[in-house]
Parts: sequence; structure tokens; C-alpha cells
Amino acid sequence: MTMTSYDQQDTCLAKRVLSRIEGGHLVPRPRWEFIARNCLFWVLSALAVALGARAFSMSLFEVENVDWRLSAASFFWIGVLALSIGIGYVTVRRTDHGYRYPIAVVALGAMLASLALGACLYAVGL
Amino acid sequence: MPLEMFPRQSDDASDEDIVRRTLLDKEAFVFLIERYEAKLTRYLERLGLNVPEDREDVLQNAFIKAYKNLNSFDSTLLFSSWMYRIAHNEAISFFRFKHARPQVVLHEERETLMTELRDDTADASLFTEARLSREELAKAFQTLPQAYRDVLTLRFFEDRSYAEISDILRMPVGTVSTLLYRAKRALRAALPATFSL
Repeated sequence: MTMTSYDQQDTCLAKRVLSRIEGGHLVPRPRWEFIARNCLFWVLSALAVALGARAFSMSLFEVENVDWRLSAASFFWIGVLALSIGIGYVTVRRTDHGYRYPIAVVALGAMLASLALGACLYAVGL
Repeated sequence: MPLEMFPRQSDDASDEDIVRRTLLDKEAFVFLIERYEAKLTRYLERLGLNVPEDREDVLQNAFIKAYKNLNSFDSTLLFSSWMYRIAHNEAISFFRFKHARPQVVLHEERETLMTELRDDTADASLFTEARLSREELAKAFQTLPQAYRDVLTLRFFEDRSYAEISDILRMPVGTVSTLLYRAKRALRAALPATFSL
């Protein structure tokens, strides 16, 4: 079917969809909502990495200063590190283009970022 | 694009132009519905939505959802990929809501899929000599997990590239490739013994 003007657009489906849009006073959601949502997931990813870094830093501290084999805290922080990597992976996947990155790249990236930042935190004594 | 510059003869307008126009004037959305109605109807049927009323409900909901989320359309994607993704998600939601397993009916797609399976087999002659009925193929196709059916449908019936399938199903291109390989292998295994090479 050739589309020449709005007046000629009278297929049933198009009419029904338009009447639902008009009847329900539907309008496109504003762009800022989508941008904010995307930013939120990136911020959550960054927070997950920060949490992972803190956990790794604490783990290093436990290993260096406490008998880590007996310390429940070591295992707690390792658990937090694993959890933060998981959260980082899920939140990156929820961003606009996050699905394009392979699982291994995202998980490894979150882990390496956490480890590197955690080592830095430990080195400066935080 | 300013309103007055929008081509009244919208055959020439790109999907992206029509999206921009729709944000200013909702009636322009009709052009997109016209452009995608037939393609998406066929796609939904291939996904297993065989009742015309159900199909139209799902399609209507997909277009409404697309309209409401037009501002989230990412111009780095093809509009068609974005629209297929919405229709796909609506169909999956429909099956979940109905607790129904899609009943796939294959029509002219049979030959496309058979050619693909034949190309990958060591002994093509067996495939050429043996004729597989539409029902046999549909039955084998039906036994595959949803993820396998999705990639096979998009690749061989909808002629979508790996990148497009990745955008439609929201998964990495490498995963699409792996799924396709496994799906073809699973389909061959599900065919009657004569065809399982």
C-alpha cells in the first residue's frame, strides 16, 4: 500500500492503535526518564565495583594482619567481593548497550576493577 | 527535521525520520504501523501465535508500547531491530500469561531451513534425496527449547544478521553464534532418523 497522507492511513490496526493512543491520552515518556535510568544502572555498577574494592582491601588486611584461616571476617569479605561482582554484572547488563558485552568480559572487568581499586585502597591504608 | 520538511510521500522517509516526526505529531505513527504490520504479523505467527485475534492483540500492545517508549529508541540500532524486540517481548509475555507453549507452524520457511541444515551436513546427498514433510520439520522444531527456536526463526525465516539478532534478543553476538550452532545441531538430532546425519 502506498502511503501518501495521513487521511489515507485507514487500515484497521493503525486506526485501532491510534484510537487507543488518543482514547488513553497516551504520550511518549520523556527522554530524560530513559537517560536517568541508564545513568542509574551505570552508577549502581560503579558502586558495586567500589564495594568490591572495599571488600578486597579488607580481605588483604585480614590476610596480612589476622590469622585469616580462623577469621570469619575474611570469608565475609570474600563473599561481599563475589556478591559485588555479581551485582556489577547484572547492572551493566541492564544498561542500554550492556547486553552487547560478553559475560566473561563484564564479569572479568568488574572483578579486575574491584581488585585493582581494592589493592590501591589497601596500599594507601584505607 | 522541521515539520514542513517531512515528506508527505512517506515511502521515502526513513524509519528514524518517522520516529522524529511521531514525537511531534502522533498521527505520523501510522506510517510506522503500516510499514511493520505485515512483517511483525508474520514474525508473531512464526513465534507460534497462531490465533489471529491473539496475534492482533499482541501486535497492538507492541505498537502501543513502542509509541510510549519512542524516546528510548536508540538511533545506533536499526528501528526494525527495536520494533522486533518489543514484539518479541510482548509475545513471550503473552505465552507466559497464558501458560501456553507456542505451537509453531512452518509454511514456506521449510525450504530455507532445510537448505541451511543441508549445507552443514557432511553428506548432502542424503538430504537432497530424502524429502522431509512440513509436519515432520515442524514437529522437530517444536521440540527445541525457546532460545533455539528464537535464533533459528530470526536467522533463517526473518533473514536477520547476527548483529540484529543480538539487538533483538539482547545478547552478545558471540552468544547468538553459539546458540545458532547448537540450535541447528539440536534440530538435526530431533529430525527422524533418516535425516539425522
